[in-house]
Amino acid sequence: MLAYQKGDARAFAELVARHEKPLWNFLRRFTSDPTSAEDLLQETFMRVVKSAASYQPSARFRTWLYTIARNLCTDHARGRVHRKAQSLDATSQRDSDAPRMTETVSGADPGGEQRTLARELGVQLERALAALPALQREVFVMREVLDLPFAEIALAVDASEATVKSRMRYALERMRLELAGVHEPAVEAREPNEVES
Amino acid sequence: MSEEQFREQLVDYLYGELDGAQRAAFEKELEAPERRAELEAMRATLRTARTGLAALDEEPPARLRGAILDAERASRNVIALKPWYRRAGTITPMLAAAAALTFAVLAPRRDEQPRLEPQPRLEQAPPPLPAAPAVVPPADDAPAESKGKLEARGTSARERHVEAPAEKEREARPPLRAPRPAEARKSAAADERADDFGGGFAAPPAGWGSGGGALGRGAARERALDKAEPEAAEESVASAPPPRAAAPASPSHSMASEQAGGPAKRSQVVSKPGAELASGRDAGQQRAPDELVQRAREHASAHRWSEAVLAYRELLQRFPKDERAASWRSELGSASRALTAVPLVP
Repeated sequence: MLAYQKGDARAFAELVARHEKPLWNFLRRFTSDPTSAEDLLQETFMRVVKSAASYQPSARFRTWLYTIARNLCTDHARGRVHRKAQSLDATSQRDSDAPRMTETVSGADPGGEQRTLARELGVQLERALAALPALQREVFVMREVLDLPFAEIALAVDASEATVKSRMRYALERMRLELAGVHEPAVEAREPNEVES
Repeated sequence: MSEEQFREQLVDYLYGELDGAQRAAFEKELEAPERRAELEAMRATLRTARTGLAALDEEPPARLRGAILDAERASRNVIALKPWYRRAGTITPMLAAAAALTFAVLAPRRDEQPRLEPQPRLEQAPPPLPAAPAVVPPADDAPAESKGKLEARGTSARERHVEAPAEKEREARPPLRAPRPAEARKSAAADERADDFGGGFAAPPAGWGSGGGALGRGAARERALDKAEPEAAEESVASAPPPRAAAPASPSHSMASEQAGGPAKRSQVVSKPGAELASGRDAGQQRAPDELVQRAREHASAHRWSEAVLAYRELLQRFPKDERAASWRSELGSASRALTAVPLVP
Protein backbone atom coordinates (compact mmCIF):
# COMPACT_ATOMS: atom_id res chain seq x y z
CA MET A 1 0.00 0.00 0.00
CA LEU A 2 2.84 2.35 0.80
CA ALA A 3 4.31 1.67 -2.62
CA TYR A 4 1.00 2.47 -4.22
CA GLN A 5 0.73 5.58 -2.11
CA LYS A 6 4.06 6.67 -3.57
CA GLY A 7 2.68 6.27 -7.06
CA ASP A 8 3.61 2.70 -7.99
CA ALA A 9 0.62 1.68 -10.07
CA ARG A 10 1.71 -1.97 -10.17
CA ALA A 11 1.44 -2.11 -6.41
CA PHE A 12 -2.29 -1.66 -6.70
CA ALA A 13 -2.56 -4.60 -9.07
CA GLU A 14 -0.59 -6.61 -6.53
CA LEU A 15 -2.94 -5.56 -3.74
CA VAL A 16 -5.94 -6.58 -5.78
CA ALA A 17 -4.39 -9.94 -6.65
CA ARG A 18 -3.57 -10.62 -3.01
CA HIS A 19 -6.81 -9.59 -1.37
CA GLU A 20 -9.38 -10.08 -4.07
CA LYS A 21 -10.31 -13.66 -3.27
CA PRO A 22 -10.68 -13.47 0.52
CA LEU A 23 -12.50 -10.21 0.15
CA TRP A 24 -14.81 -11.72 -2.44
CA ASN A 25 -15.64 -14.65 -0.19
CA PHE A 26 -16.19 -12.33 2.74
CA LEU A 27 -18.58 -10.22 0.69
CA ARG A 28 -20.35 -13.25 -0.73
CA ARG A 29 -20.92 -14.68 2.73
CA PHE A 30 -21.96 -11.33 4.06
CA THR A 31 -24.38 -10.27 1.34
CA SER A 32 -25.55 -13.60 -0.13
CA ASP A 33 -26.02 -11.74 -3.42
CA PRO A 34 -23.38 -12.07 -6.14
CA THR A 35 -24.33 -8.83 -7.90
CA SER A 36 -24.09 -6.84 -4.71
CA ALA A 37 -20.84 -8.59 -3.86
CA GLU A 38 -19.39 -7.55 -7.21
CA ASP A 39 -20.40 -3.95 -6.67
CA LEU A 40 -19.08 -3.97 -3.14
CA LEU A 41 -15.78 -5.51 -4.16
CA GLN A 42 -15.21 -2.83 -6.76
CA GLU A 43 -16.33 -0.12 -4.42
CA THR A 44 -14.00 -1.35 -1.70
CA PHE A 45 -10.99 -1.10 -3.97
CA MET A 46 -12.14 2.25 -5.27
CA ARG A 47 -12.28 3.51 -1.71
CA VAL A 48 -8.73 2.30 -1.30
CA VAL A 49 -7.76 4.31 -4.37
CA LYS A 50 -9.51 7.42 -3.15
CA SER A 51 -8.11 7.15 0.35
CA ALA A 52 -4.61 6.22 -0.73
CA ALA A 53 -3.28 9.73 -0.25
CA SER A 54 -4.52 9.90 3.33
CA TYR A 55 -3.67 6.31 4.25
CA GLN A 56 -1.79 6.03 7.54
CA PRO A 57 -0.13 2.70 8.24
CA SER A 58 -1.38 2.64 11.83
CA ALA A 59 -2.82 -0.85 11.42
CA ARG A 60 -2.29 -3.71 9.02
CA PHE A 61 -3.45 -2.99 5.52
CA ARG A 62 -5.80 -5.94 5.47
CA THR A 63 -7.50 -4.69 8.63
CA TRP A 64 -8.01 -1.34 6.99
CA LEU A 65 -9.23 -2.96 3.80
CA TYR A 66 -11.71 -5.20 5.58
CA THR A 67 -12.91 -2.28 7.64
CA ILE A 68 -13.78 -0.49 4.44
CA ALA A 69 -15.49 -3.60 3.12
CA ARG A 70 -17.37 -4.13 6.35
CA ASN A 71 -18.59 -0.53 6.43
CA LEU A 72 -19.77 -0.79 2.86
CA CYS A 73 -21.56 -4.02 3.69
CA THR A 74 -23.26 -2.38 6.63
CA ASP A 75 -24.35 0.54 4.48
CA HIS A 76 -25.51 -1.83 1.83
CA ALA A 77 -27.53 -3.88 4.29
CA ARG A 78 -29.03 -0.71 5.70
CA GLY A 79 -29.99 0.40 2.21
CA ARG A 80 -31.60 -2.94 1.54
CA VAL A 81 -33.67 -2.67 4.67
CA HIS A 82 -34.83 0.80 3.67
CA ARG A 83 -35.58 -0.16 0.11
CA LYS A 84 -37.26 -3.38 1.18
CA ALA A 85 -35.47 -5.06 -1.63
CA GLN A 86 -34.63 -8.74 -1.68
CA SER A 87 -35.03 -10.18 1.75
CA LEU A 88 -32.86 -12.85 3.17
CA ASP A 89 -35.81 -15.22 2.86
CA ALA A 90 -35.99 -14.46 -0.82
CA THR A 91 -32.41 -15.58 -1.16
CA SER A 92 -33.22 -18.79 0.58
CA GLN A 93 -36.27 -19.20 -1.59
CA ARG A 94 -34.17 -18.71 -4.68
CA ASP A 95 -31.74 -21.32 -3.48
CA SER A 96 -34.51 -23.77 -2.75
CA ASP A 97 -35.90 -23.30 -6.25
CA ALA A 98 -32.55 -23.86 -7.85
CA PRO A 99 -31.78 -27.34 -9.08
CA ARG A 100 -30.10 -29.46 -6.49
CA MET A 101 -26.55 -30.51 -7.06
CA THR A 102 -27.73 -34.11 -6.94
CA GLU A 103 -29.68 -33.42 -10.10
CA THR A 104 -26.80 -31.92 -11.98
CA VAL A 105 -23.73 -33.86 -10.92
CA SER A 106 -22.96 -36.93 -12.92
CA GLY A 107 -23.16 -40.15 -10.95
CA ALA A 108 -20.15 -41.49 -12.80
CA ASP A 109 -17.88 -39.10 -10.94
CA PRO A 110 -16.51 -40.98 -7.92
CA GLY A 111 -16.10 -37.77 -5.87
CA GLY A 112 -19.39 -36.37 -7.05
CA GLU A 113 -21.47 -37.52 -4.12
CA GLN A 114 -19.01 -36.11 -1.64
CA ARG A 115 -18.97 -32.79 -3.43
CA THR A 116 -22.71 -32.75 -3.65
CA LEU A 117 -22.99 -33.21 0.09
CA ALA A 118 -20.44 -30.50 0.65
CA ARG A 119 -22.33 -28.19 -1.66
CA GLU A 120 -25.58 -28.86 0.14
CA LEU A 121 -23.86 -28.21 3.38
CA GLY A 122 -22.69 -24.91 1.88
CA VAL A 123 -26.27 -24.00 1.06
CA GLN A 124 -27.32 -24.84 4.61
CA LEU A 125 -24.50 -22.75 5.93
CA GLU A 126 -25.51 -19.80 3.79
CA ARG A 127 -28.97 -19.99 5.29
CA ALA A 128 -27.56 -20.24 8.77
CA LEU A 129 -25.35 -17.24 8.14
CA ALA A 130 -28.25 -15.28 6.74
CA ALA A 131 -30.18 -16.00 9.91
CA LEU A 132 -27.46 -14.47 12.08
CA PRO A 133 -27.75 -10.87 13.20
CA ALA A 134 -25.40 -8.70 11.17
CA LEU A 135 -23.07 -7.95 14.08
CA GLN A 136 -22.60 -11.63 14.80
CA ARG A 137 -22.36 -12.55 11.15
CA GLU A 138 -19.59 -10.08 10.43
CA VAL A 139 -17.54 -11.35 13.35
CA PHE A 140 -18.08 -14.97 12.36
CA VAL A 141 -17.20 -14.35 8.70
CA MET A 142 -14.16 -12.26 9.54
CA ARG A 143 -12.87 -14.95 11.82
CA GLU A 144 -13.72 -17.99 9.73
CA VAL A 145 -13.45 -16.68 6.19
CA LEU A 146 -10.79 -14.01 6.50
CA ASP A 147 -8.98 -15.78 9.33
CA LEU A 148 -8.52 -12.52 11.21
CA PRO A 149 -7.49 -12.66 14.87
CA PHE A 150 -10.03 -11.30 17.31
CA ALA A 151 -7.86 -8.28 18.00
CA GLU A 152 -7.97 -7.25 14.35
CA ILE A 153 -11.69 -7.91 14.14
CA ALA A 154 -12.15 -5.65 17.13
CA LEU A 155 -10.34 -2.89 15.25
CA ALA A 156 -12.36 -3.47 12.11
CA VAL A 157 -15.74 -3.40 13.79
CA ASP A 158 -14.74 -0.73 16.28
CA ALA A 159 -15.57 -2.77 19.37
CA SER A 160 -13.61 -4.24 22.23
CA GLU A 161 -12.03 -7.65 21.87
CA ALA A 162 -14.26 -9.01 24.64
CA THR A 163 -17.32 -7.81 22.78
CA VAL A 164 -16.11 -9.46 19.62
CA LYS A 165 -15.56 -12.75 21.40
CA SER A 166 -18.97 -12.48 22.96
CA ARG A 167 -20.53 -11.94 19.52
CA MET A 168 -18.61 -14.92 18.24
CA ARG A 169 -19.96 -17.07 21.03
CA TYR A 170 -23.54 -16.02 20.30
CA ALA A 171 -22.94 -16.63 16.63
CA LEU A 172 -21.70 -20.13 17.32
CA GLU A 173 -24.64 -20.89 19.55
CA ARG A 174 -27.03 -19.68 16.86
CA MET A 175 -25.19 -21.64 14.19
CA ARG A 176 -25.40 -24.70 16.36
CA LEU A 177 -29.17 -24.40 16.33
CA GLU A 178 -29.33 -23.63 12.63
CA LEU A 179 -27.06 -26.45 11.62
CA ALA A 180 -28.54 -29.02 13.96
CA GLY A 181 -29.19 -32.22 12.12
CA VAL A 182 -27.13 -31.24 9.10
CA HIS A 183 -25.20 -34.21 7.86
CA GLU A 184 -21.55 -33.40 7.73
CA PRO A 185 -19.67 -35.05 4.91
CA ALA A 186 -16.33 -36.56 5.58
CA VAL A 187 -14.35 -33.56 4.47
CA GLU A 188 -11.16 -32.62 6.19
CA ALA A 189 -11.75 -29.71 8.47
CA ARG A 190 -9.46 -28.10 10.96
CA GLU A 191 -9.96 -29.00 14.54
CA PRO A 192 -11.23 -25.85 16.23
CA ASN A 193 -8.67 -25.84 18.98
CA GLU A 194 -5.85 -26.46 16.54
CA VAL A 195 -6.31 -23.12 14.82
CA GLU A 196 -3.85 -21.09 16.73
CA SER A 197 -1.78 -23.79 18.33
CA MET B 1 -15.95 -21.41 37.51
CA SER B 2 -19.47 -20.12 36.94
CA GLU B 3 -21.51 -21.01 33.88
CA GLU B 4 -21.09 -17.49 32.52
CA GLN B 5 -17.31 -17.57 32.99
CA PHE B 6 -17.18 -20.96 31.31
CA ARG B 7 -19.11 -19.65 28.29
CA GLU B 8 -16.91 -16.58 28.10
CA GLN B 9 -13.78 -18.69 27.95
CA LEU B 10 -15.22 -21.26 25.60
CA VAL B 11 -14.41 -19.24 22.49
CA ASP B 12 -10.92 -18.49 23.77
CA TYR B 13 -10.35 -22.18 24.37
CA LEU B 14 -11.71 -23.17 20.97
CA TYR B 15 -9.37 -20.72 19.26
CA GLY B 16 -6.41 -21.46 21.52
CA GLU B 17 -6.27 -18.02 23.04
CA LEU B 18 -5.95 -19.06 26.68
CA ASP B 19 -2.57 -18.95 28.35
CA GLY B 20 -1.24 -21.96 30.20
CA ALA B 21 -2.85 -21.34 33.60
CA GLN B 22 -6.21 -20.35 32.13
CA ARG B 23 -6.15 -23.35 29.85
CA ALA B 24 -5.45 -25.71 32.71
CA ALA B 25 -8.27 -24.18 34.75
CA PHE B 26 -10.65 -24.47 31.84
CA GLU B 27 -9.75 -28.10 31.11
CA LYS B 28 -10.40 -28.90 34.75
CA GLU B 29 -13.93 -27.63 34.25
CA LEU B 30 -14.31 -29.99 31.31
CA GLU B 31 -14.29 -32.93 33.67
CA ALA B 32 -17.94 -32.15 34.21
CA PRO B 33 -19.83 -34.14 31.52
CA GLU B 34 -22.34 -31.38 30.65
CA ARG B 35 -19.50 -28.90 30.07
CA ARG B 36 -17.60 -31.44 28.05
CA ALA B 37 -20.75 -32.02 25.96
CA GLU B 38 -21.16 -28.33 25.40
CA LEU B 39 -17.59 -28.00 24.22
CA GLU B 40 -18.00 -30.95 21.85
CA ALA B 41 -21.19 -29.49 20.45
CA MET B 42 -19.42 -26.21 19.73
CA ARG B 43 -16.51 -28.02 18.15
CA ALA B 44 -18.87 -29.97 15.92
CA THR B 45 -20.68 -26.79 14.90
CA LEU B 46 -17.44 -25.10 14.04
CA ARG B 47 -16.23 -28.12 12.10
CA THR B 48 -19.46 -28.27 10.11
CA ALA B 49 -19.34 -24.56 9.41
CA ARG B 50 -15.79 -24.81 8.16
CA THR B 51 -16.68 -27.66 5.89
CA GLY B 52 -19.53 -25.64 4.47
CA LEU B 53 -17.37 -22.58 4.04
CA ALA B 54 -14.76 -24.65 2.23
CA ALA B 55 -17.49 -25.84 -0.13
CA LEU B 56 -18.61 -22.29 -0.74
CA ASP B 57 -15.10 -20.98 -1.31
CA GLU B 58 -14.95 -19.47 -4.77
CA GLU B 59 -12.86 -17.28 -7.01
CA PRO B 60 -14.19 -13.85 -7.86
CA PRO B 61 -15.35 -13.37 -11.44
CA ALA B 62 -12.35 -12.88 -13.68
CA ARG B 63 -13.71 -9.73 -15.30
CA LEU B 64 -13.88 -7.99 -11.93
CA ARG B 65 -10.15 -7.58 -11.62
CA GLY B 66 -9.96 -5.94 -15.02
CA ALA B 67 -12.81 -3.62 -14.16
CA ILE B 68 -11.18 -2.65 -10.86
CA LEU B 69 -7.84 -1.97 -12.48
CA ASP B 70 -9.49 0.02 -15.28
CA ALA B 71 -11.38 2.10 -12.78
CA GLU B 72 -8.21 2.70 -10.80
CA ARG B 73 -6.39 3.81 -13.93
CA ALA B 74 -9.19 6.16 -14.83
CA SER B 75 -9.41 7.65 -11.36
CA ARG B 76 -5.63 8.08 -11.28
CA ASN B 77 -5.89 10.24 -14.38
CA VAL B 78 -8.68 12.23 -12.86
CA ILE B 79 -6.91 12.72 -9.54
CA ALA B 80 -3.81 13.88 -11.36
CA LEU B 81 -5.77 16.72 -12.86
CA LYS B 82 -5.78 20.12 -11.27
CA PRO B 83 -8.80 21.32 -9.35
CA TRP B 84 -11.61 22.30 -11.67
CA TYR B 85 -11.19 26.00 -11.14
CA ARG B 86 -7.58 25.84 -12.23
CA ARG B 87 -8.12 23.87 -15.37
CA ALA B 88 -7.66 25.97 -18.46
CA GLY B 89 -9.98 23.74 -20.42
CA THR B 90 -12.75 24.37 -17.93
CA ILE B 91 -12.26 27.99 -17.09
CA THR B 92 -12.08 29.28 -20.65
CA PRO B 93 -15.52 28.13 -21.77
CA MET B 94 -16.92 29.16 -18.40
CA LEU B 95 -15.51 32.64 -18.80
CA ALA B 96 -16.80 32.80 -22.34
CA ALA B 97 -20.24 31.75 -21.18
CA ALA B 98 -20.18 34.25 -18.33
CA ALA B 99 -19.11 37.01 -20.71
CA ALA B 100 -21.84 36.08 -23.17
CA LEU B 101 -24.41 36.03 -20.40
CA THR B 102 -23.27 39.36 -19.02
CA PHE B 103 -23.39 40.81 -22.47
CA ALA B 104 -26.85 39.41 -23.12
CA VAL B 105 -28.09 40.94 -19.88
CA LEU B 106 -26.46 44.29 -20.40
CA ALA B 107 -27.11 44.58 -24.12
CA PRO B 108 -30.61 46.09 -23.93
CA ARG B 109 -29.40 48.76 -21.51
CA ARG B 110 -26.65 49.65 -23.84
CA ASP B 111 -29.18 50.06 -26.60
CA GLU B 112 -31.15 52.46 -24.48
CA GLN B 113 -28.19 54.78 -24.15
CA PRO B 114 -28.01 57.53 -26.72
CA ARG B 115 -25.68 56.47 -29.45
CA LEU B 116 -23.16 58.85 -30.77
CA GLU B 117 -23.61 59.72 -34.36
CA PRO B 118 -20.78 58.70 -36.58
CA GLN B 119 -18.44 61.55 -37.11
CA PRO B 120 -18.46 62.91 -40.57
CA ARG B 121 -15.75 61.88 -42.88
CA LEU B 122 -13.82 63.99 -45.17
CA GLU B 123 -16.60 64.94 -47.50
CA GLN B 124 -19.03 65.93 -44.74
CA ALA B 125 -18.97 69.13 -42.87
CA PRO B 126 -19.04 68.81 -39.10
CA PRO B 127 -22.38 69.46 -37.54
CA PRO B 128 -22.56 72.63 -35.59
CA LEU B 129 -21.54 72.24 -32.02
CA PRO B 130 -24.37 72.31 -29.57
CA ALA B 131 -24.83 75.68 -28.14
CA ALA B 132 -23.15 75.87 -24.83
CA PRO B 133 -25.34 77.06 -22.03
CA ALA B 134 -24.81 80.67 -21.59
CA VAL B 135 -23.02 81.49 -18.44
CA VAL B 136 -23.79 84.83 -17.15
CA PRO B 137 -20.75 86.22 -15.49
CA PRO B 138 -21.46 87.47 -12.10
CA ALA B 139 -22.33 91.01 -12.05
CA ASP B 140 -19.95 93.34 -10.52
CA ASP B 141 -22.40 93.94 -7.80
CA ALA B 142 -22.81 90.29 -7.06
CA PRO B 143 -21.55 89.04 -3.76
CA ALA B 144 -17.84 88.44 -3.75
CA GLU B 145 -18.43 84.99 -2.38
CA SER B 146 -20.13 83.74 -5.51
CA LYS B 147 -17.45 85.32 -7.65
CA GLY B 148 -14.75 83.60 -5.74
CA LYS B 149 -16.53 80.32 -6.12
CA LEU B 150 -16.67 80.67 -9.83
CA GLU B 151 -13.02 81.55 -10.01
CA ALA B 152 -11.98 78.76 -7.77
CA ARG B 153 -13.85 76.22 -9.87
CA GLY B 154 -13.11 75.30 -13.39
CA THR B 155 -10.68 72.46 -12.91
CA SER B 156 -13.02 69.84 -14.26
CA ALA B 157 -13.61 69.47 -17.96
CA ARG B 158 -17.32 69.99 -17.58
CA GLU B 159 -16.93 73.21 -15.76
CA ARG B 160 -14.32 74.43 -18.16
CA HIS B 161 -16.76 73.68 -20.91
CA VAL B 162 -19.47 75.58 -19.15
CA GLU B 163 -17.28 78.55 -18.62
CA ALA B 164 -15.96 78.66 -22.13
CA PRO B 165 -18.27 80.39 -24.51
CA ALA B 166 -19.26 78.40 -27.57
CA GLU B 167 -17.61 80.92 -29.87
CA LYS B 168 -14.30 80.55 -28.09
CA GLU B 169 -14.45 76.81 -28.44
CA ARG B 170 -15.12 77.01 -32.11
CA GLU B 171 -12.17 79.33 -32.54
CA ALA B 172 -9.91 76.94 -30.69
CA ARG B 173 -10.64 74.10 -33.14
CA PRO B 174 -8.53 73.83 -36.25
CA PRO B 175 -10.47 75.07 -39.22
CA LEU B 176 -12.02 72.37 -41.35
CA ARG B 177 -10.99 72.44 -44.87
CA ALA B 178 -11.46 70.31 -47.91
CA PRO B 179 -8.66 67.76 -48.16
CA ARG B 180 -6.10 68.13 -50.78
CA PRO B 181 -6.01 65.23 -53.29
CA ALA B 182 -2.67 63.96 -51.92
CA GLU B 183 -3.97 63.94 -48.37
CA ALA B 184 -7.10 62.12 -49.46
CA ARG B 185 -5.01 59.42 -51.07
CA LYS B 186 -2.87 59.14 -47.94
CA SER B 187 -5.94 58.81 -45.78
CA ALA B 188 -7.44 56.12 -47.99
CA ALA B 189 -4.17 54.20 -47.96
CA ALA B 190 -4.04 54.46 -44.18
CA ASP B 191 -7.54 53.08 -44.00
CA GLU B 192 -6.56 50.15 -46.15
CA ARG B 193 -3.51 49.42 -44.03
CA ALA B 194 -5.63 49.55 -40.96
CA ASP B 195 -8.02 47.05 -42.51
CA ASP B 196 -5.15 44.75 -43.39
CA PHE B 197 -4.23 44.54 -39.74
CA GLY B 198 -7.74 44.11 -38.51
CA GLY B 199 -8.16 47.71 -37.66
CA GLY B 200 -4.68 48.28 -36.27
CA PHE B 201 -4.27 51.51 -34.42
CA ALA B 202 -6.66 53.38 -36.61
CA ALA B 203 -9.53 53.10 -34.26
CA PRO B 204 -12.87 53.65 -35.89
CA PRO B 205 -14.99 56.44 -34.62
CA ALA B 206 -17.10 55.91 -31.59
CA GLY B 207 -20.32 54.13 -32.31
CA TRP B 208 -18.82 51.94 -35.02
CA GLY B 209 -17.72 49.15 -32.83
CA SER B 210 -14.54 48.80 -30.91
CA GLY B 211 -11.23 49.22 -32.60
CA GLY B 212 -8.23 46.98 -32.94
CA GLY B 213 -8.60 43.25 -33.07
CA ALA B 214 -12.00 43.41 -31.50
CA LEU B 215 -13.39 45.28 -34.42
CA GLY B 216 -14.96 42.22 -35.96
CA ARG B 217 -16.53 41.09 -32.77
CA GLY B 218 -17.61 44.62 -32.00
CA ALA B 219 -19.26 44.96 -35.35
CA ALA B 220 -20.95 41.61 -35.02
CA ARG B 221 -22.16 42.57 -31.58
CA GLU B 222 -23.53 45.81 -32.92
CA ARG B 223 -25.38 44.01 -35.64
CA ALA B 224 -26.80 41.63 -33.14
CA LEU B 225 -27.82 44.50 -30.95
CA ASP B 226 -29.59 46.04 -33.87
CA LYS B 227 -31.72 42.95 -33.92
CA ALA B 228 -32.63 43.73 -30.34
CA GLU B 229 -32.57 40.03 -29.52
CA PRO B 230 -30.29 39.00 -26.70
CA GLU B 231 -30.07 35.49 -28.06
CA ALA B 232 -28.90 36.72 -31.40
CA ALA B 233 -26.38 38.90 -29.67
CA GLU B 234 -25.11 35.97 -27.69
CA GLU B 235 -24.88 33.86 -30.79
CA SER B 236 -23.00 36.40 -32.73
CA VAL B 237 -20.58 36.95 -29.89
CA ALA B 238 -20.05 33.29 -29.29
CA SER B 239 -19.64 32.47 -32.91
CA ALA B 240 -17.79 35.54 -34.07
CA PRO B 241 -15.09 34.33 -36.39
CA PRO B 242 -11.55 35.62 -36.07
CA PRO B 243 -11.38 39.36 -36.40
CA ARG B 244 -9.70 39.48 -39.76
CA ALA B 245 -12.23 37.21 -41.39
CA ALA B 246 -15.32 38.83 -40.02
CA ALA B 247 -14.30 42.42 -39.71
CA PRO B 248 -15.89 44.70 -42.17
CA ALA B 249 -13.45 46.06 -44.68
CA SER B 250 -13.58 49.43 -43.04
CA PRO B 251 -16.05 51.51 -41.19
CA SER B 252 -17.03 53.12 -44.40
CA HIS B 253 -17.53 49.73 -45.99
CA SER B 254 -19.67 48.73 -43.09
CA MET B 255 -21.74 51.85 -43.37
CA ALA B 256 -22.08 51.30 -47.08
CA SER B 257 -23.24 47.76 -46.58
CA GLU B 258 -25.73 48.85 -43.99
CA GLN B 259 -27.02 51.48 -46.29
CA ALA B 260 -27.22 49.08 -49.19
CA GLY B 261 -28.55 45.97 -47.53
CA GLY B 262 -30.42 47.31 -44.58
CA PRO B 263 -31.82 45.05 -41.91
CA ALA B 264 -32.29 42.11 -44.27
CA LYS B 265 -28.63 42.11 -45.11
CA ARG B 266 -27.73 42.36 -41.44
CA SER B 267 -29.82 39.39 -40.51
CA GLN B 268 -28.03 37.37 -43.16
CA VAL B 269 -24.72 38.28 -41.65
CA VAL B 270 -25.93 37.14 -38.23
CA SER B 271 -27.60 33.99 -39.41
CA LYS B 272 -24.46 32.53 -40.93
CA PRO B 273 -22.51 32.18 -37.66
CA GLY B 274 -25.77 31.02 -36.08
CA ALA B 275 -25.89 28.10 -38.48
CA GLU B 276 -22.30 27.27 -37.66
CA LEU B 277 -23.21 27.29 -33.99
CA ALA B 278 -26.10 24.93 -34.59
CA SER B 279 -23.81 22.49 -36.35
CA GLY B 280 -21.40 22.87 -33.43
CA ARG B 281 -24.19 21.92 -31.06
CA ASP B 282 -24.85 18.78 -33.06
CA ALA B 283 -21.22 17.92 -32.84
CA GLY B 284 -21.37 18.47 -29.10
CA GLN B 285 -24.26 16.07 -28.77
CA GLN B 286 -22.24 13.42 -30.51
CA ARG B 287 -19.37 13.64 -28.11
CA ALA B 288 -17.32 10.56 -27.66
CA PRO B 289 -18.18 8.43 -24.62
CA ASP B 290 -14.68 9.01 -23.24
CA GLU B 291 -15.50 12.61 -22.56
CA LEU B 292 -18.63 11.66 -20.67
CA VAL B 293 -16.81 8.93 -18.82
CA GLN B 294 -14.16 11.38 -17.77
CA ARG B 295 -16.78 13.86 -16.65
CA ALA B 296 -18.61 11.22 -14.66
CA ARG B 297 -15.43 10.05 -13.02
CA GLU B 298 -14.39 13.56 -12.22
CA HIS B 299 -17.67 14.04 -10.44
CA ALA B 300 -17.24 10.75 -8.65
CA SER B 301 -13.69 11.49 -7.58
CA ALA B 302 -14.81 14.84 -6.25
CA HIS B 303 -17.62 13.06 -4.38
CA ARG B 304 -20.25 14.93 -6.34
CA TRP B 305 -22.31 11.79 -6.36
CA SER B 306 -25.54 13.15 -7.77
CA GLU B 307 -23.73 14.66 -10.75
CA ALA B 308 -21.79 11.46 -11.20
CA VAL B 309 -24.98 9.42 -11.18
CA LEU B 310 -26.56 11.70 -13.77
CA ALA B 311 -23.46 11.56 -15.93
CA TYR B 312 -23.28 7.78 -15.80
CA ARG B 313 -26.96 7.51 -16.60
CA GLU B 314 -26.54 9.78 -19.57
CA LEU B 315 -23.58 7.73 -20.67
CA LEU B 316 -25.49 4.47 -20.44
CA GLN B 317 -28.49 5.95 -22.21
CA ARG B 318 -26.40 7.19 -25.07
CA PHE B 319 -23.96 4.36 -25.38
CA PRO B 320 -25.78 1.33 -24.01
CA LYS B 321 -23.98 -1.09 -26.30
CA ASP B 322 -20.49 0.11 -25.63
CA GLU B 323 -18.21 -2.67 -24.50
CA ARG B 324 -17.43 -0.75 -21.30
CA ALA B 325 -21.11 -0.37 -20.44
CA ALA B 326 -20.88 -3.08 -17.78
CA SER B 327 -18.09 -1.22 -16.05
CA TRP B 328 -20.03 2.04 -16.24
CA ARG B 329 -23.06 0.32 -14.80
CA SER B 330 -20.98 -0.86 -11.94
CA GLU B 331 -19.55 2.61 -11.38
CA LEU B 332 -23.06 3.99 -11.54
CA GLY B 333 -24.04 1.54 -8.84
CA SER B 334 -21.13 2.63 -6.72
CA ALA B 335 -21.97 6.28 -7.17
CA SER B 336 -25.63 5.61 -6.38
CA ARG B 337 -24.70 3.84 -3.22
CA ALA B 338 -22.29 6.54 -2.25
CA LEU B 339 -25.06 9.04 -2.74
CA THR B 340 -27.03 7.47 0.04
CA ALA B 341 -24.18 6.01 2.04
CA VAL B 342 -23.12 7.04 5.46
CA PRO B 343 -19.64 8.61 5.31
CA LEU B 344 -16.93 6.03 5.70
CA VAL B 345 -14.91 6.09 8.88
CA PRO B 346 -12.38 3.31 8.45
